[in-house]
Formats: sequence, structure tokens, C-alpha cells
Amino acid sequence: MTESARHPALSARVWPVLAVGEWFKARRRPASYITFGFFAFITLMDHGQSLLRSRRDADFSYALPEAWSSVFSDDSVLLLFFGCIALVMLVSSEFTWRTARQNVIDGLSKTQWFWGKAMLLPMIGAVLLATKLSIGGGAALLAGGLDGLSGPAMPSSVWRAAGGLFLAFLTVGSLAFLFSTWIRSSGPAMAAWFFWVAMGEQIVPQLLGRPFPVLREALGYLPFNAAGRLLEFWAFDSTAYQRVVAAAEAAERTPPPPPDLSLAVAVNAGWVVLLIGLAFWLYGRRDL
Amino acid sequence: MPIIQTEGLTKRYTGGLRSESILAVDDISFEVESGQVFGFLGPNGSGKTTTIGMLLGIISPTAGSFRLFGGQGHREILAARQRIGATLEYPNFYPYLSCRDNLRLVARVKGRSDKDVDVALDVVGLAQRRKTRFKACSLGMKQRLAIGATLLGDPDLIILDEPANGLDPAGQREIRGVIRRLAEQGKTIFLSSHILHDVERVCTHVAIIQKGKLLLQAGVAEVTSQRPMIALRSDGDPEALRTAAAGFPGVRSIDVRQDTVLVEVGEGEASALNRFLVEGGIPVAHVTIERPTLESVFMELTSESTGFGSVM
Ligand SMILES: Nc1ncnc2c1ncn2[C@@H]1O[C@H](COP(=O)(O)OP(=O)(O)OP(=O)(O)O)[C@@H](O)[C@H]1O
Ligand SMILES: [Mg+2]
Repeated sequence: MTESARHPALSARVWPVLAVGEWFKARRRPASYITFGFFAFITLMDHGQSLLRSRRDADFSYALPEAWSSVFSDDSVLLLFFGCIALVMLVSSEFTWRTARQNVIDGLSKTQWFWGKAMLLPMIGAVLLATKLSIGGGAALLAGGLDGLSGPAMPSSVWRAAGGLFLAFLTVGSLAFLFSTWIRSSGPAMAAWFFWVAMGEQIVPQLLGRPFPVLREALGYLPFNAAGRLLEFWAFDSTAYQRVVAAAEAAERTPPPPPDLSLAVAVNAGWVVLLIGLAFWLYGRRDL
Repeated sequence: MPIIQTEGLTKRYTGGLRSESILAVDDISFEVESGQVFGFLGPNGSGKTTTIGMLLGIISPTAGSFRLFGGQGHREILAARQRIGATLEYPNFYPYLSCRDNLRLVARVKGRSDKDVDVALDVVGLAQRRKTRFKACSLGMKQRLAIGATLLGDPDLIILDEPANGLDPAGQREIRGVIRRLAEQGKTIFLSSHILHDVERVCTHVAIIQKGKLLLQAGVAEVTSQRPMIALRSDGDPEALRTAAAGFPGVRSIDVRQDTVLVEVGEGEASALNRFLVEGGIPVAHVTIERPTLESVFMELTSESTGFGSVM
């Protein structure tokens, strides 16, 4: 056997090995299935309630494809929060248990270790997203059935919205990943992430927004706020947007401005690259 | 070709804003040849773990360089590290996974099968406890699991940082046995330890480090054959014996320990000393030649100020 055939760390074979390893560790960890269980439970409560109400209340319709608007809504911040909690726990504990050290001693390079851990971001995002889609879509399917659909059950905008939510998770998850690898301890990393999101992106823009409206506009592009632009279904579906505008006009409210999806995607992708890049730079400068 | 070769290896921990910087490893150069069982000794905080950490790629050196299996570039070092099995300080594993699952994770990174995992568990005597979660293991079991993990890749070089830490005498003997067996298989072993007695029994070579500086590098036999001492005992007063022996022209040093007088003389002068005493009418009941132990050499070398003795 050649050197690289025998040792995964010497070839591209290391990436599937790392992905399988991360999946294995996450799956066995009580903390991750408790987090996942909570998320699934709350999602189930949310959509189960709509299902029950549609059974009782004849005026309340909860059917595909309109129901996607309630699957992709600002409730999706829950996915962001739960995903980040799981991510911080899985990443920081590698430092507190010193297994990050041991993984490198066992033959990985520091760089391989970092990117192996970064794979948790898409993994966690995909699992939570699949859970949300199947619970939300499943409840709507049970409520409305497939007969008398007003359009395709899963219009292409659903896939775009799912992609948007996935990207939104990558954005706020990158922030959580940065804090996890930099602070290296789950409690403080979680606190830092939360403080950033609540203080830096909500309260500070509120306070500064009054005297400096331009600044408020700019702070709307910070990671969490930028991710928020990708949560609503109407950002991806023009019919849904028209419905939102009509509903707002009927209630004499100002409708939300038309979404600029490509800008939102570009800003989010920019944050992912910047935050992960910064995390990698800080990580590389330090000893394990 | 040396297996490990360091050249002026230096590490300064700069620390945070409030902590002072520490020169943990100071310009260390040493070589470990293939097949050696190399003991790396030093008092607590002398820089052993830091030195090993640099060789393993988890601590970046402040200055100096090293070669592993002759290789030096990033790629070569990564390849060389696939031939090393190592533990550093404590056994580090995932607490919620079983012994076996922990080793399976290591095995994947090292490109080994689950069958190799079972063999490794067997070698370190954990086959019965393979389902025990790591956090439920005793310290001795954890240490053994760590040694099991180092053996997984069938490494050519095994680096063990205080492997007998926390083990009972039987456990320590087992570790010595494992090390001996590995050495017999032709593996190179780099062992940091506080248990000098153990090191003396299993190691072929030693290096002694203190406060980050290398004080000595030599073969164990070389160290312990240096400066033999002659131990004299009489039935009478040891002080009288001491005074008499001090009169011998070839005496280099002299010391009294309990009822024994220890005299250091030149090579082959032992019988001359004995004759000198007998001719002087001093009754000597017992004459033996004492070779220095590794421990006594170590103590002597490292005893200044913050000696090892006070810590042990
Ligand atoms: N991460 C760190 N940051 C700052 N200083 C450190 C760090 N790690 C070690 N040191 C310091 O470097 C010196 C050498 O430590 P090291 O752990 O290498 O010693 P050691 O010989 O392994 O000791 P022991 O026998 O106690 O394990 C010590 O003074 C220690 O305080
Ligand atoms: Mg140490």
C-alpha cells in the first residue's frame, strides 16, 4: 500500500473520513439530540397547532402550497438559535476535552481539523432544515390533502426559500463558529454569540437608529440582521409577496419593501466567508 | 538517520495581557536514533510537554527547527507524523463515547479497521471493558486506553508523555512491559517520565531538561558508569573512617551517609585505597563499589534552587 492510501490525512480521502467522524460524534452526543429533540418538538407544536385549528375552524385554511408561508417565516429564527446552540456545544467541547489536540496528535493537520469541524455547519443546517420541512410540509399535507391544490405542492420557490434559510443558518452559524473556536469554551462562547445578536444587532441599532438613521440602515446588514432577510417566504415567491402587500393594504399598514434577493444572498455569503476566514486566521495563530 | 532531530528548538509563551511571558523551552538540540528507548527527564514545569507538543504539531516553535524521520517541510512532517503514535499529558478522549468507539474514531483517522481496534484493546487489557464510557473509566484505564490509541497505527515512533502517571505499581510494571515489548519489536520510543527508576530500567538513552534547558544527553549506561563511588563500612565510628580515608592521596570527594563512607577516587584506585586503610591499621568491614543511579545523577544536576526533590 502506498503511504497516502494507508493514511487518510495524506490525501483527499481525509474529508469523507472527517465528515463521517463528525456525524458519528454528533449523533452519539446526548447534548445534540436533546437540542434536536427540543427543536423538533417546538416545530411540531407550531405546525400541529395549525393542523388542529384547520380541522376545527372551517374558515382557517392550512394547505399546500400557501402553508409554505408559515413554514418559512420569522419563526425560522428558532432554527438559527437551536442550530447555533448545537454547533457551539459540539465545537467548543473539542477544546475543553482537549480532543482537538489529540485529533492532531493522531495524524490530522491543524488545517484539516479546522475544516473538518467547519463541516458541522452545513450538517447541522441540513438536519434541522430537513426536520422543519418535513414537519411543516407534513402538517400542511395532513390538513389540506393533495386534492384541490391551488398550484404545485412544492413550487420551486420552496426550494429557493429552503436554500435561503440554509444560507441564513450558515451566516449566523459562522458567527457562532468564530466564537466557539476563538473562546474555546461553550458557556462563554454561547454568551458572546447571544450578546452580539441581542445587543450588537438589535438594541444598539435601535438606540443609534434615532439620531443616525443611515447607521441604522447599515447595521441592518450585520450577520444576524442580514440572515433575517432570508427567512420570509415572500422574499422568494412573488405570489406570496403580492398576498403580503394585499393583506397590509387591507389593514392599512405599510407593506414591506420588495425584496432584493441577490443583495441579501451576496451579503450573507460575504459574512460566511469573512467570519469563517477570521476564525481560521485566529485559530491558526494559536497553539492547540 | 535520526528519527527525531531538533535544532535550537525554543518556545516562549507570550500569554495574555496580564500574564508574563515564559521561556518554556530554551534552545534545545538533541537527537533520537532509530531503536532507542529515549527517556526525557525533567522536574515539573521544565518544558517536556512543550517540547513534545512542538514535535507533534500542536505548539508552534518560537525559534529553531526539527526533523522527524529526516523530513522537515510541512508535507514531510505531516507524512512523518502518520508514523508516530503519541500521548500528551492526560489521556484525551470523548467522555460520552465508549473505549471502543473512541478508538474507532482514532482508527479512522489512522486508516485502520475495527479489527485493529479490538487488537489494541486486547493488548492494553481493556477488551473486557470496551463498552465502558470514557468518563466512567478509572485513571489507570484511561492511561491504558491512551496507550492503546498510540499503538493503533502500528507506529515506528511512540511518544509517551508520563504514561505511568496515576498508575499503581502493577500498572506501572505493565507499562514497562509494554514498552519493553515495543522496543523488542524495533520501535523507537520517546518517553517522558518522572519515575526515574522506571526510566533507568527501560531506557537506553536519556536527556535531562531543566527550566527549558538541556542539561545532559547520553546513554543510560554511560551516565550510570560515571564516577563510581567506593562505599566503606567499619564496625567503629564512621567519622574516624572518614578522617582516615581523607588521608588517601587519590581522594576526589568524600561523604558520609549514615554508617557508610562514600569515597570517590580515580579509575582503578579502589584496591589502593583499601590497602592504604589496612596498612594504616583502620579496620574496614565492608568495601563495595557503588555506581551512581540515574536518580542520583538527576538530583545532582537539577538540585539547584527549585529542585525536583522539593516537588517530589
Ligand atoms: N499554554 C501555556 N501558556 C503559558 N505557559 C505555559 C503553557 N503551557 C505550559 N506553560 C509553561 O511552560 C513551562 C513548561 O511547561 P511544560 O508543561 O512543558 O512542563 P513539563 O516539563 O511537561 O512539566 P510536568 O512535569 O509538570 O508535566 C511551565 O512553566 C508552564 O507553566
Ligand atoms: Mg508535562
